[in-house]
Amino acid sequence: MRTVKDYLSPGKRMGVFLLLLFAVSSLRAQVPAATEIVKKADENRRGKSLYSEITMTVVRPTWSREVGIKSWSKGEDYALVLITSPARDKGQAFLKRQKDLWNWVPSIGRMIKMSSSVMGQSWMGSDFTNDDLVKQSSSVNDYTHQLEKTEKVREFDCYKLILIPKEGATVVWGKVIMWVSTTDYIEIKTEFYDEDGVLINTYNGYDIHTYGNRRLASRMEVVPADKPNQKTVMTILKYDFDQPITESFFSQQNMKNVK
Amino acid sequence: MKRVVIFLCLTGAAFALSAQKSRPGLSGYVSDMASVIAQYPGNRWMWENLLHNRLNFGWQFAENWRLDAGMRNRYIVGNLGEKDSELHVTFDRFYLTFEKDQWNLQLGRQRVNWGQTLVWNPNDLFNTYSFFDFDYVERPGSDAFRATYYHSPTASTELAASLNASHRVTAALLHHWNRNNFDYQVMGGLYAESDIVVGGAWSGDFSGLNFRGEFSFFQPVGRQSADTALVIAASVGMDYVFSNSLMLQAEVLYNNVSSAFSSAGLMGLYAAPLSAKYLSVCDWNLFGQASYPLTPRLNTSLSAIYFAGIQSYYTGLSLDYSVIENLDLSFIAQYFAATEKAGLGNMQILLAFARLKYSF
Repeated sequence: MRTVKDYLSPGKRMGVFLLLLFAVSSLRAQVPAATEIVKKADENRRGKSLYSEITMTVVRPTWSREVGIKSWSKGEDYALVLITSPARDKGQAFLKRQKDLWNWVPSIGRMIKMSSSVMGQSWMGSDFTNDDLVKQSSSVNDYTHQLEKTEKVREFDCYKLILIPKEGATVVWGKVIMWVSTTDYIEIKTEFYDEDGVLINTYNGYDIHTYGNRRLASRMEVVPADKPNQKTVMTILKYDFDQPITESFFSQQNMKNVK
Repeated sequence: MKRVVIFLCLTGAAFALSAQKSRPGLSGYVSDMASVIAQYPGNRWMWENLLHNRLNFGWQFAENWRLDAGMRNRYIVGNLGEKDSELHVTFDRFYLTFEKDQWNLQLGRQRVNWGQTLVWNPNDLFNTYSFFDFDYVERPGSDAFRATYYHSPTASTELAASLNASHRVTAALLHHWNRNNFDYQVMGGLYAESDIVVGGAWSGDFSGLNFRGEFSFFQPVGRQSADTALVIAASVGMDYVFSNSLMLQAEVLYNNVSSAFSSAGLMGLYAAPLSAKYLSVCDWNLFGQASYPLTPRLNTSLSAIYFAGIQSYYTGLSLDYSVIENLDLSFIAQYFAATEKAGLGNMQILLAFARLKYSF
């Protein structure tokens, strides 16, 4: 049987290629669908897999605390987070597999099953929730998306998107407004609202860096709406995208061993 | 002292060799805790100051091999013990690990923790957690051999055998798996050479409400035991974390403790060493706790236990404050009130602790 490749001469092939290229760029010129933008932003920060080293700083008017973590993730279903500092919590690990969550506490040699209700809880006293860390809920699957307009946030041209949680989705928020840069699909700013429509937290991504073939914020800040003089800062020390990590890496055995 | 020397030599040797494999790690804490105990009737006052240092040492000295040691040094001054001052130096961990593919083998003094619930653990045959002993969460290790095989990322089978202080063997097999977002385990074996034990446990949640339970049946066998009655220990607990980080927790324990044991009354909680078989001093026990971080630096908790069988109760308060990075200040109060049913007449005990702890 003849294939398309056999049928087309080299010249024709080049023509089709250019046509396809043109088709793609004309698609790009159009405004993509809301869900598509959220998907791209999500894919951009998540990759197929991601290894990261992060410092999180909880900033309060009179004091601050730092937490160091190493994190491995694969898609949105698998994550392993290891605490590297402070000394008191060092060695604790969190494993997420789909809807299951476990916490390994080396000092007592015990693995504790955690419910999804801890996801909305503050991560070690910070303004980030556990959910932000292990990405339990999915901005793609757990919400419906609506593109409102394009708008400038700081120096970035952004798509402004409204995210409303789907019925029955285990999410913490009542509404999320997200600004995603029109080039590179970087999550520049996000506002998190509770079920009564009250603004709770604002996220901002700063210091855009290139990681492999992606561009992402290397410093992320979350500021609670009712306490403008406090914030939590996440600084990316290392991002390593798309290294082959198998699903079996995210195991109870490995949770006790990762370094 | 000999132990200190051994430990220092070991640490030194480890550091000297460290260039070859991964670097050895040393961590731990130093704490100073002042305690006051008041007892009524008798109006007895006791006090104690405990200077406590813990060292955890871990070293992966070859690709599949690892050595772990844990050392606990305590200097106690006060009128609580027999002497005015005491120095205790113990190794509560000292074990070798061999890990390859899905196998993990551990030999030596280690913590074998089979618990699933948060307060009383009938499945925790090798080392019993005590809710009251907040200053020693690590618990003493048991001298054991343990082999674990991981069938999948969420299922494993474990064989553990240990020798207790009176040279009695405990040997048991545990199988652990996950199904429909619940963890399950079954276990069985020989307990302290005196009982055949079988049990099981689960952990999971319904819409965020954690639901955990554990049960064990101890049937005395052979000449070793004077008591031949079947002992049941079963605990069921629930816990929930609200979005503002408030955590509520409740647990019930049923344990048909022998009359010999319960006659020790409430003081038995301190005097008698608890075990997986005898987790409390009476049959029905109810626990409740609320904990809440007032600020990210200040964690508070209130707890209560009702010992239904002896109509006695416990209440506790704890405040944990992060002074600076790695330095924590805690204030803990524990109050026990026993009624005449407890066998010792009306009795009240108040314990108050202030602890400053530096982790490294």
